[in-house]
Amino acid sequence: MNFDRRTLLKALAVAPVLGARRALAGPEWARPRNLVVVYHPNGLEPGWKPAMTNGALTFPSTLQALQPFASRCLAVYGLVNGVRNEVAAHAQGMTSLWTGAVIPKDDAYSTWPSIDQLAAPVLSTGSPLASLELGVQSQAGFGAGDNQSVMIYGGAGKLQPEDDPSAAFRRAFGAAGSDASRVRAERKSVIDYVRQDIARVRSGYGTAEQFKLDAHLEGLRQLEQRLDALAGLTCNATAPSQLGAGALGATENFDTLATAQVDLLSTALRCGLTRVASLQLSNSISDRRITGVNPSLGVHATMHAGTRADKVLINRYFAGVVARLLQKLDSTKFSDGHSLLDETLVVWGTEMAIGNHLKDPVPFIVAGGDPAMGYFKQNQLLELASPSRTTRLLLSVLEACGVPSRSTLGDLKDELSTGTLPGASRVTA
Amino acid sequence: MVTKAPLRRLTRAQYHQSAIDLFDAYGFTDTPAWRFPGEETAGPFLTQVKGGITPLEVDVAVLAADELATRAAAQPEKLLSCVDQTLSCVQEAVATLAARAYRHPLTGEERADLGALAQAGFDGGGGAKGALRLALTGVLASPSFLSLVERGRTDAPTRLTGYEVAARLALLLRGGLPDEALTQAAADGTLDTADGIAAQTWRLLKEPRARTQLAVFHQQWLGLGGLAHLDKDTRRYPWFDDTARAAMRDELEGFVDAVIRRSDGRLETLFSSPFAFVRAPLHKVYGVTAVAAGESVGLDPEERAGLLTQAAFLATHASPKLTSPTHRGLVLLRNVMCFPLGDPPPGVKIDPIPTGTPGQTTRRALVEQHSQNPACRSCHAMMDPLGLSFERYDAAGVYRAVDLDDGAPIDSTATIDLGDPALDGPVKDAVELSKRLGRSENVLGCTATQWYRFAFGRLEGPDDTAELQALAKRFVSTRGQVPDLIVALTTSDAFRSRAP
Repeated sequence: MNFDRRTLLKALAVAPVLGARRALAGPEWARPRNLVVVYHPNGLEPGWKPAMTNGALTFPSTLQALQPFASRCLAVYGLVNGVRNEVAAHAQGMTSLWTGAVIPKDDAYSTWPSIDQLAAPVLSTGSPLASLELGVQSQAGFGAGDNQSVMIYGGAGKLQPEDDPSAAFRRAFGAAGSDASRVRAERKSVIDYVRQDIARVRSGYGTAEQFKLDAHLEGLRQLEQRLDALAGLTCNATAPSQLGAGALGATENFDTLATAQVDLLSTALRCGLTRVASLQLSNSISDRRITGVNPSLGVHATMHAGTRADKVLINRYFAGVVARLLQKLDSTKFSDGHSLLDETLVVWGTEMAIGNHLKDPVPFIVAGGDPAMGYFKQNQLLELASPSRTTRLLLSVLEACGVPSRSTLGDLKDELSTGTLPGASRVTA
Repeated sequence: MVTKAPLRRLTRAQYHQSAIDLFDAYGFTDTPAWRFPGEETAGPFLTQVKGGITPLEVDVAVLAADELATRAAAQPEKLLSCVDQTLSCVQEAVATLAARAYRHPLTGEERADLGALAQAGFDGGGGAKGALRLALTGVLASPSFLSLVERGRTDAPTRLTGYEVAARLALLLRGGLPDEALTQAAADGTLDTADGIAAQTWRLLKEPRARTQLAVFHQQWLGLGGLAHLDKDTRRYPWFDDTARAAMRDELEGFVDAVIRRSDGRLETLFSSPFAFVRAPLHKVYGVTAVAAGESVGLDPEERAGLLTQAAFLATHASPKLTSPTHRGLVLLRNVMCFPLGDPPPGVKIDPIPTGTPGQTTRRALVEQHSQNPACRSCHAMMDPLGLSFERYDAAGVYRAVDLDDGAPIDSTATIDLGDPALDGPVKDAVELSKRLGRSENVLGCTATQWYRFAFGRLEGPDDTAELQALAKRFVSTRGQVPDLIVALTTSDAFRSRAP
């Protein structure tokens, strides 16, 4: 597909929806307009525990990059993940991370949706794209393509992130641009043709296989809907430069790709292309070498068996990427002065406490949202007095987003897992 | 007997190869196949039969189709034979291509719908190129291309048509679309008979593409899918880089090819032959002089015995720095013996077994200690002895007499107790074990089952039992002749049938 290096959509000064932030306010708090979940592999130990100093959240050196945004963060210490079996913590941790699924086997996927997908129907109503899944070398590493490298799930299946910023841009903004109407018309005729083919294939199969063809029709329907919604979108967006497969996979390009994805993610939110996004930095068994860290071992091997100093360097690197995202959102200002971070809830989590598979304390940090009227406390360390599962924080995130209330998530239904997380919210107990 | 035949979508590798086959006039080497999400598995094999296509995959399918079609339409002369490039000329070329993509001659209705799509592209201002691009996008985004569509014969719906048999054969032995000879064999009725299928199977087995497919089978069977990204501690293995990974992959392909296509084709040979394709830097693994790509070298038969004692298997099923007897044992039990193993009990703490301490403990003692726990013993007593017999190979597959970390001489003896008369009893090392594996009827039966799963892209069900037993019996009777097994499989009722 061809698209202009710079896709310039006919500009309206400011899209009218952007000023309507407070109109979405619930009875007691301002709902975030956007939800972003971010993942990095293998926990944050050793030594990530923040402190409260004179009433202010203070991050340790591992998380130093986040310090400028500390006043916008809630750090939760003491969460327990839902992994059934720590031997299989990489696979089970990834599938469980945002879903609460407890998978019976190492090679199974979650059949429960992840929280971003639960929030999408509420937040992304009217947006061209229900959600945007981005990754940075998320499929690289031993076991690539299996459930140790997938964290986002719709009810129907896994949603693998797009690791190529340029391809992600084409998928998300594809039919926009100067020849948008031609591309749209062409897409629609292709969709119509595929529907004809589906109808023919259908006639050859019994009822047991019909769901697969129905799924294909549903995908086409969503695609068509998006084409229509894109027609109404007005925004400036710059396409990321296109990289070859070799460059996309090269471990030394990790940081460049991370920056490109952070930019694309914030552009998609700024433009209202979607309201829900995820960013997956590598995967649970990452072989990526982080520049400046012991080059003889990848992330996964280092978190298992590396030195304490190397572990800290890796964690510090990932914290830096998250800080870059917060910085980008914070520096994106709308005409009334509020920032994209003010209307975006960023939830940063990981699948285990530490590389050797421990279940707790799994680090989670919530950042952003309305500084005054947001659901979550900000500038706070929440140190849990009694153990709670990560799903309780996720239930709080769903409540904050206005997703109809629920008491459990996925398969986790025990006492540790039930209800929103006490002490996390400014407005509820 | 009729075997259940679900609608099966192409895997990424199958999509990739099919796209290359379809556009052979262009000589594409890269395709957008890898933009699709990863596959599910049937046993150790990648496949796509359980779930429906997700909205994301529909998106990717349309975008990938558009990308391929755009590349193809940029050089229309490669597809269009007529000089004037009229609409009807494009329609004709596209219909020809669609028949290959869909793996059957087009019906009048298919032809008409496709013609209309080409016309839309033509009229939309794109002319011949536009017509070509739009029509090809439609073809590549259709389930008729993305899936193996099987309707059966009009006179006997549970029997596959010759074209459908050709499609299954092509997927199994070419990893992509039928070649011209297969399509011809479908057209002239050759593939309606078992003899005709056998002849085509033998022909395909001799084609270069079969070499690749045999490698794909063995890679997936032995759990070597992660080879391309295998991670080793480069302090201990400074030579372990992309060249080493590629050499391991090529070594496996060369060895499997040498045994199955150019030697006696037997499983026992695969698990016992002491030679390998040792390209640099793999000479570090074998302690021999490296030879050029494609050349093999004889190895010490006391040290090596076939595929399971070669670098790819040994290095994949190990940690970056240390061996993992449990992992090596697990993959042998699950994949090679088809032994149904449960998951570890809930609440098990994982502590990677550390290295031993010189003069105090050996790693082997620590490994044995770790499975003393009664809750662990039931499975570890099966896995660990198998893996311990491989202890003469370190984490990269290098043969060793002494453990570098604890300084103790390697003890690779083990006692196998799995209720398999061909395997049970004390073994000296993996060389002895591997030879026993190649002769075990249980392992032969498991191998037949694994080929069945690979060919059909699904796990076996109750309906498959009789067919599987027959295949296993035949495989045992030929003393593990793999090409014969493949022909028995493709000429079986199951391979020629679909669900009612």
